[in-house]
Amino acid sequence: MMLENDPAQTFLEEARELLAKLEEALLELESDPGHAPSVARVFRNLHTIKGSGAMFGFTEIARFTHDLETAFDKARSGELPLSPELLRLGLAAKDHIEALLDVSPDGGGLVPASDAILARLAGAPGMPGQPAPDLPARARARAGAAGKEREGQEGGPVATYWVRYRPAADSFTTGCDPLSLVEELTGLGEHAVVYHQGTDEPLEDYDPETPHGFFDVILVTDQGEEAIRAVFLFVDDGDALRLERIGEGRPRGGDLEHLAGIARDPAHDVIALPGLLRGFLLDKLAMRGAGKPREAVSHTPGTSSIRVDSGRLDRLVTMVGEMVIIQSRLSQAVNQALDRSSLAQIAEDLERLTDEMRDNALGLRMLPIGTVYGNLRRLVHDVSVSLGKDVDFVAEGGDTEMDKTVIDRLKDPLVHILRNSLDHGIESGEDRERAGKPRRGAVRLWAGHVGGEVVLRVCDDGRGLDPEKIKRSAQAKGLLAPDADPDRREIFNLIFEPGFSTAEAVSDLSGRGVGMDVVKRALEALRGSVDIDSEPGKGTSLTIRLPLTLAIIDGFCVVIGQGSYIVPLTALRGFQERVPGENRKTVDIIERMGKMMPCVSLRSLFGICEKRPDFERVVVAEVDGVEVGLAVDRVVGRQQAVIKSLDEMYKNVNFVTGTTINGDGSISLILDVPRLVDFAATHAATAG
Amino acid sequence: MRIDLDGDCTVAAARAIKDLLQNALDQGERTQVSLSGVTRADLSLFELLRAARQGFLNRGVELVILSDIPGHLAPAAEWTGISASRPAGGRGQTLGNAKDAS
Repeated sequence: MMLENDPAQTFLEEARELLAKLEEALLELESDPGHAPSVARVFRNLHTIKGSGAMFGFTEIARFTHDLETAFDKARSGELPLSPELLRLGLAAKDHIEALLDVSPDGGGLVPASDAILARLAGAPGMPGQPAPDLPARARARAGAAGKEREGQEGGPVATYWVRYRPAADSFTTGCDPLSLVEELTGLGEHAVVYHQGTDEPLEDYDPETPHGFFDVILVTDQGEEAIRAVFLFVDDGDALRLERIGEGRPRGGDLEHLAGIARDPAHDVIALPGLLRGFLLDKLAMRGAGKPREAVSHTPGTSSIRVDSGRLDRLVTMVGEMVIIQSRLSQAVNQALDRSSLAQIAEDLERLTDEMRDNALGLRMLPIGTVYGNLRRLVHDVSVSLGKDVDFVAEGGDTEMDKTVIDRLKDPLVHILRNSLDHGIESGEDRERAGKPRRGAVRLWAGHVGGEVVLRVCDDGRGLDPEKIKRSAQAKGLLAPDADPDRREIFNLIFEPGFSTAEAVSDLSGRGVGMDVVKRALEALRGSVDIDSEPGKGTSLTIRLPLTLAIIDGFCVVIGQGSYIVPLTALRGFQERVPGENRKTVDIIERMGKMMPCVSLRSLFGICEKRPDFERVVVAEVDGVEVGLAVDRVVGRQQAVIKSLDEMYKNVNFVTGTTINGDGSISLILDVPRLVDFAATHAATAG
Repeated sequence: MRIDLDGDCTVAAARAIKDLLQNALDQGERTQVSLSGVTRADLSLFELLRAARQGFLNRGVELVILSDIPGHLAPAAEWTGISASRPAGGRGQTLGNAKDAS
């Protein structure tokens, strides 16, 4: 949820987005150093991070980013070569800024690390190593030079100022460039600059050596008036500067534009203008209940936030309006004791609206998977550099939307998969050449919607998996019976077995001690699955399937004793019956379509002692090709379940993933089918 | 006609640049000005360009400030309203501080 009136939190979120874009542009430049739009993007992102950092009081971020911005500005204008070292520094700086976002705005203990990176940057050819012109330190230096100390000015209350600067007639000849003063002024915070043209002389009479126009600058800063006056310290003409504090607190971005519009209007004279600007801000701030104090800002909020398409919010608001109308119709129907058909019509309308609202509300949590592509691209870059391998990483389908929680929890499995692919899948350049492949390897990540699921596929053109080796290794480790004859898919799935992948590199996806079983478990926790296919010498492909959302599932409601349970529909394969007996074990073997299948008595597993039915229903569930029966008292029917997470104190409860509230207000437990299947498969051996 | 401005275009070069623009205006030709080679500039350049644009307009001749403005000049160009939306095009020579490349 977006925290209201929380500008620093907004900055932190925007800065992270900007850093992701920065990283993407830097990585693009690595593969194509001459790509001018990418240089411009790097510059723009740094510029925005610096400016908004300074505005929101993140002084260390502003200080640190300044020199970097200068370097990429020079690179943009061709003054500084875009060397690999500069790009490396750019990536290191991106990581550092990210770390700065998590510490206090003054940089905490990370200031020495900032200085170390800046020192490396200053050593880059073409860098003058000048201090930041628009930062408090610089302003202090200027004031200090004139014997005017301004200690304690920075970090004060945020205020909005109107600055009118009319350069003196001799400005150019005395070596004072009005533009550089305005630039320095704008470095003090968020700003809007309005330039007023001077007299409209014909070109032939125009004197180019005299300033003609003047500036109005609306400046939002916490640096105080002294810092503003310090910018104009060397301006001799006392009439050149007019400065007025026009508002307290921080106006919104759009307000600056409005203020600039007021200042731009030639009808507003210099006497009336400050009052008009002040009046506008007072109105705005009063309307919004004037912002919260900055001290209230938490830099580590417990709740994560999400950006939402305003169109989706608009639709939701419209639907809430419809719901109010339906509620009113319903009340009327009850009061007037309307007939059943009228009530049925209302119920039908309500059902339609609820469906729409559910879809829309779930959509609010959807984010494009591309939001993690930047991190993954960086991972591939770093790992391939450390391994000395040339690898092209292609990420497609970045606009595929997924639930934010799924995306957050998907990052680690994807990192594992990509790292394994780079480490063990992609061969060294020499090996690839010997195998007749291009020296540069390729890893491709694709995401898209297939059916009602999201599918992600990671493919590499590496050495692939050798089924025979996997089989021999699994047999040696006791994971496979010596006489077993698994098919190709079963063999490949062995790499997801715990204890398999920690061994030396038998397969190209193992050997780091980070088992693929961890990946599989993480994906299953997201109600997803993973499949693998490979061809020796040609490459490996991993396919991940995930539900669109974690919030709602289609399930089947079953009852045991007085309690009701939900079996997720994706795992359901069928139903059959069995006669309950006193001697039944918790896990028994039953027959299904000519084959033997383990069957778990949920009554026995959950210790339910109420009266048994004459016939038990067996829900057949399947996970990864393994079918098991789940014996219950009766089956109620299909039900859409809105998942409510289990409270922290229930986290150790086995075989239940969450709860849901039924139509009649009662509660059902959602069964953890993969775990039940695991349990059944493990105990089946002793059941027979 | 195309004028490519290059190098230091601060007040020291202002008169020379003004003469170039004035000559272009006197010839009555549509003129393009490129700032892509400018390494230094101050307010005098931007104000002169504004004055020139007005002068051309008054005579019904088009003066286009090309959009290839280098990044370090972009804020000033934006503030003073010099930023043009026209793409850079055509051929022109870069001839010192302020040279006519027609």
